[in-house]
Amino acid sequence: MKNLMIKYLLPAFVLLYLLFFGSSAALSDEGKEKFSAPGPTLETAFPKSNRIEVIPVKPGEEIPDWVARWELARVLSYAKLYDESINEYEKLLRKRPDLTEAKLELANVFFWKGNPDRAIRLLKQVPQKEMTEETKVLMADLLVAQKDYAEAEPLYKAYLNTHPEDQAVRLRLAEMLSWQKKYDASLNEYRKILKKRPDDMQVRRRYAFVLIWAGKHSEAASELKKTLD
Amino acid sequence: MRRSVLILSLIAIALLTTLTYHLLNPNWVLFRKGEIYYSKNKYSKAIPCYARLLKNGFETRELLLHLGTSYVATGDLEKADTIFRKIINQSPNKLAAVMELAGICTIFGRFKTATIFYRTFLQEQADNRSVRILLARVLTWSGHFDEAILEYKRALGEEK
Repeated sequence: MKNLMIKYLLPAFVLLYLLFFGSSAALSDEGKEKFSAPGPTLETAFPKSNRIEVIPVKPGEEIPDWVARWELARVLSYAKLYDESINEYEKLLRKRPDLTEAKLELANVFFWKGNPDRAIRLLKQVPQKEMTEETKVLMADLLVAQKDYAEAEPLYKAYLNTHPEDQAVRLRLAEMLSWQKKYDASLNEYRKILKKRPDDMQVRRRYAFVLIWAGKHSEAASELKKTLD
Repeated sequence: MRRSVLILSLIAIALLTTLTYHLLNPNWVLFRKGEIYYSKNKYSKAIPCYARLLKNGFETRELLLHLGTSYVATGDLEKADTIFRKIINQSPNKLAAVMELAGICTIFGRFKTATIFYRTFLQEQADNRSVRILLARVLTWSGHFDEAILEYKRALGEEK
């Protein structure tokens, strides 16, 4: 055993030692100059979630005018200067009609400005597959405001398929279904919400009202009683 | 017997080389220690290594830059400012140094300091569009929308 250790293990140890630790001693000063720790980046030190989005441009590359105009349009909307923001978005889209994301943002600005018709018209130009999940919800909300429930329903459902935990959107769908007198479907959505939020009295009351509209009076009374206990 | 003597000699050589290196080049050893902390974003641990090196007269641009960055990261902006001034004064290309430091401050969300650096740069090169846009971005991130809008418009040549 001792022989084995001397024969193999010790030489292996020595070689490994020289390889890993001896190398630092063998480094020339020039080599050491080159040893420099990687610096922090915008991503590692200042996470994206804490920043207002900018359009990325490769380092060293000149920032093109359309990028500056897009960012200006965004900042104008943050400053609630909606008319000016719309103006900048329209200038941008005249030059770059391919910028779907800018179109979606412009639709949002129209919505914030209180012009849902323009927002919907713009959103309808965007192919469904290029829409973000949040845009689908925005479009559904806008369609509901216009009482276009048939078009809104699949958008809410598509969103909830990928975001089943978003109870706020589920509630909007449940309400909309009840307005269409689709009581069973609406009650089904309310039950899903109440399963996750059993103590939400406001939702339970709305659920009870839909039960009344559906003619399920005794069940409604029991639910209303729960909100008074 | 001969084999064990050889092995022991090799171990002794390895140990001696390392020991000699540590004795002859303690600054480099400390620098590497600081760099390891820096690369792992452990800035508060890197600072004492770099500061001791500076005290020992071991002053390279890399060291100053990393020490300044570490001060920015830990929020010691006064000390960062002293280091950054030193870097700018020692740099053959002062504007490039100013830009580098503005970038570091932006990375760590020190927008006010970054704004000062970008404005300093623009005093020398007022028609540099890209830097004006970088300034506008920093102003946006710090919530100064009015000033950001003005800078974007200047970058687009729509405002003087």
